[in-house]
Amino acid sequence: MKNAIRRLLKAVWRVSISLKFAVLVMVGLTLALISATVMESMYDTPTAQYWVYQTWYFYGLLGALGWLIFAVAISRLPWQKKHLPFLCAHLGILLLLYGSWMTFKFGVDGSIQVGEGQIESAVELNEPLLLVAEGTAHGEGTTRTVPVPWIPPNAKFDPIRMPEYDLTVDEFISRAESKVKFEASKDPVELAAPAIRVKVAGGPSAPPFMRMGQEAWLWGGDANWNRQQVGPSVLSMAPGPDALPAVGKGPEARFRFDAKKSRLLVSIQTSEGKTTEQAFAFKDPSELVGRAIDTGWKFDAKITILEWIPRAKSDVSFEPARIQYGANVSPSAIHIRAGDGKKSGSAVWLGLGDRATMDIPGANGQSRHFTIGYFPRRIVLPFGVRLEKFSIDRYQGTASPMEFSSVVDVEGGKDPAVKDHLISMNEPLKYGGFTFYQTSYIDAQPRPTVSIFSVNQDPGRWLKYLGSLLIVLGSIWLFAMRYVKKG
Amino acid sequence: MMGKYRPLLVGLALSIGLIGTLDAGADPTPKGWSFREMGAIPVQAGGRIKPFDSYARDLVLQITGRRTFEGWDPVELVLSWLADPKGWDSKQFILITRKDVKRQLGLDEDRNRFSPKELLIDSFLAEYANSMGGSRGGMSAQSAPIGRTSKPDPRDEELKRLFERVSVYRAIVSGEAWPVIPAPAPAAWGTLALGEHHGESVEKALATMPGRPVREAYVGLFTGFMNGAQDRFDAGVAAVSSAVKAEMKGEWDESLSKKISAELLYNRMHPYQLAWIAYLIAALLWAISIWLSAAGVAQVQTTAVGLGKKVSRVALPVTFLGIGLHVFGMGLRCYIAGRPPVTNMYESIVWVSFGVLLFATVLWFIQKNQILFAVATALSAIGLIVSDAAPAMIDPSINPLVPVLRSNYWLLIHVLTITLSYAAFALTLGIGNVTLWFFWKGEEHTQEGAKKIATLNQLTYRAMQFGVVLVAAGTILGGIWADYSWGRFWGWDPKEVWALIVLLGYIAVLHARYAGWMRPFSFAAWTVIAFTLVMMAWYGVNFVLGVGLHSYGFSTGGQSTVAIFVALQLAYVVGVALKRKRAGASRGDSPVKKAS
Repeated sequence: MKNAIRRLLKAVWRVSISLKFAVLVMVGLTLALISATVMESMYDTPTAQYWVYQTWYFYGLLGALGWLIFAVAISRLPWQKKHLPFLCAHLGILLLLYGSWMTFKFGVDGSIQVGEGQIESAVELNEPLLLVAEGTAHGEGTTRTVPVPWIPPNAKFDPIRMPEYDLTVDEFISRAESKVKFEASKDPVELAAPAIRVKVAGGPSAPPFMRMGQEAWLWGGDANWNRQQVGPSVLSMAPGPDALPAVGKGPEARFRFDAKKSRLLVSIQTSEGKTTEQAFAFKDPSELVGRAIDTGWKFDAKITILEWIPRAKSDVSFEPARIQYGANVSPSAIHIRAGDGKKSGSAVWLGLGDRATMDIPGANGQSRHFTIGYFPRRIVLPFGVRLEKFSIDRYQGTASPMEFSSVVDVEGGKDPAVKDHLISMNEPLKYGGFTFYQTSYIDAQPRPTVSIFSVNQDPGRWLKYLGSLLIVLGSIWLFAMRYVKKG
Repeated sequence: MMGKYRPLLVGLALSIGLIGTLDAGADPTPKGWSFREMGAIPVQAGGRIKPFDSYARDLVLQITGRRTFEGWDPVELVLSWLADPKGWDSKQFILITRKDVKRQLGLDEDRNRFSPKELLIDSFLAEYANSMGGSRGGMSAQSAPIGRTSKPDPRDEELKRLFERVSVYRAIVSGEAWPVIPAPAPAAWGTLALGEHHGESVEKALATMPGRPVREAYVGLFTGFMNGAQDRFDAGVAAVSSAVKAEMKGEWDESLSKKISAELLYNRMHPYQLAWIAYLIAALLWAISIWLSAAGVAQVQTTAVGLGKKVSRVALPVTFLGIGLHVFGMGLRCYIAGRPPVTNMYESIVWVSFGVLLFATVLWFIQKNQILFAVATALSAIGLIVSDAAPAMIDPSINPLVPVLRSNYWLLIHVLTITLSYAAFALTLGIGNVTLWFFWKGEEHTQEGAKKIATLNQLTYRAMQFGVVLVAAGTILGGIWADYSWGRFWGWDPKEVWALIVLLGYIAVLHARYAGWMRPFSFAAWTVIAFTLVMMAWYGVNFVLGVGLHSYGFSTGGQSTVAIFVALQLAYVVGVALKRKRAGASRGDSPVKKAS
């Protein structure tokens, strides 16, 4: 038995130091790399990362490369002076691989966004997390974060289960677009508000596109939906019995719902400054569908009611975005359910950056209350970065940036504070073990004032640099020696 | 842009009341005057102040896809477009490259250039322009299936470029594309277009506009040009020149004046063209010299004898004349742009062509072998011809850099190192091909031939070592630059990855040779094949893959040309291998026998 193991180890060693194994690893690595770049070109970077660079087989190939370089170096024992350049180059590669692994394992790579005059210490990492907090009636509870791995479209998503909460992340959309539906609310305590779908269209005298008209949903329940610009007019829906204030002097129609008298009211303002009010009483909401409202606006525009829900809740869902790959795609979304997700309110969609609350009937009749959020992971620096000033120079007569830079202060850290330090492209700032790089900014008129830095901490850096140096020196030495020997 | 065609902004010619002097519809012809002085007038374009000559060349290249169109001086062509839009209306000069775009627009698919009339009146272009105005993603975006990438469709891209060509042409006619009225930097210079003057009379509008002296001087210049009065034109040019300089105030100084003259010299002299002519002659002379002294390749010292020696004595100075012109061109370009000339495909081809000769010269001191210069001059000539031949694809104009590249220090050490490695590998490709040629002729079986091949193998090996060290160092330097400016050493970016693939490929070849797996033939063959990887890293990543952080170098086109080149190379290698095998079989020994 011992002999067998020995023989096996010997065989493994022989294979490890054979040129055939080296060629196999190099060919394998090359093929993987070629396919990854082609995939990146056809799809995008995260997709190539998922299918090649972040896979067990790719790490396996890199590991095999490290091992064989190590093994070949050992196989030359006892080393002689002539082996020095060869050892130097091989040690360099090993250090480079080891340093990269250190960076991967222990490094931090995120970004920080600061506006002028503001101070910021939260670094956002590109690692989405699901955050679940359970609060009992007494306000106590537990919190847990679960990383949500990104998977490309068409890859299989393994549900993430959290048995202690009876929650499951059962769906994942890599690039999601939200879709909002308004439905009649049956639950009397639920957040609900009036919702109406209308069409604004011009009469026969209008230009063709105005004759075709434009549709819009109005919902009193939140600020994103309660006011919409439709063509030249503004439409709004109030959450309660009082109309929302008018926003301007142009054509405007402000809806509100009088629940007591069961009627829909609308105040219509014309560009001439005249305001009239109309009321539509109903017993059943469907009675108002199809009703056309005269407005007195240009081109005999009329507002037609297409749907009317006096008590509506919004139901947000996500579906795959039309554009699934490339540089400017939408972020991901997840679907979380409690239990089997069949009970009302026990399933929810969250887009990246969203939060929601869930009330689930517990086992013994008690209700469980959850706050859940889907956010990029953040780390908080032990100090703050204040942006004093962001400046940008553009090439003359164009909008293309020539240079941009930020003047920052660093405060509150252990190291002495930094005052008025200039960070620019190719000129980073090092502080407290972190390095800040000027990478981007948010463009705005008349000038951008929000600067974006990438922040990183890289314990493998010096190893990579040392390795690089050894590789280059080693190979020059190697070639020079052969030249001297032969030449 | 195109969707919002107003009835043209009042064209300059129209507004100054010269329209009557035009011969409507007559074929415009060059006047044969000198436009040098006109070319020296400063304008602001592409983020810098440049001579009008450069600007005119950019416009002509953008619109026609050619460096010069039918023998017109670019300056005069642009003037003529402005002066005689009716005459140019039915001339075919606006480029369309893709067949599918021509088909879509209902145009003749066999032609590459079309007249403004065909494009704006007879075709569907205007309708597409309208429909594209509103949507962001081009025409195919609406009908595209879910799951597509945000990468633009090449047909949409060409259509977009066509819109740009047409609108730039119209802007030349309307005066909007004449950024000639100085404004203090970084503001945009004013154009000759009058814009909307709200019912005021043209005279009144003109009076209140900034840069009135420049405008009036231009009116004089155009009047002279349109009436065919050379003296008035020349006087107009002189007046414009001094008016612009006066208007620029402090910004017109000695150094700008020198740069403008240098750029004019660079444009008019076209030093790279002279260089490739010299290289071609030199390559021919070296070939003759080698041919005359049949043993030339084999020996280590200067070998040419008799007549061959005399020829090589001429070849060497011609080679150095070419190098001189080449360096002069790069020097001028550096001076004009204020940075090392390696920021786009054009500049990198020019630099690599120079690098090939640089290595040949270095190796020449180690091993005085004429084949080095024969191969290097031929390669450099090919490189410079390629860079010259497709200006629409390989843009020769000097453009502003994205902020991250504006570090001359890093640009110099990273990009120059990595591209020099391409040069070393190009030299191995050249020598490898020559080596294969000797195998094709069956010279490996003669003692002298075997010696020749061994010498060439040795040269290839040396050049490859240079290349490997440089590509390793260049890639690592790129990592260090990326780490220093972005905070990451390595991010599996396609350009990085392909540099690594090149490195792995050549290291494999070197190790295989070291281990005795490769005999002279396979070494030469694999050297030639390995260059495919360099083509991919250099050209393919930017022109075929078109993704990643090295996006400042992206473009399209040339795929079929490059594919043909690669296919021919591979076919050559396979052809030689087959011929050798057959010869070996008839001889009774196997040429692919393993060493040791």
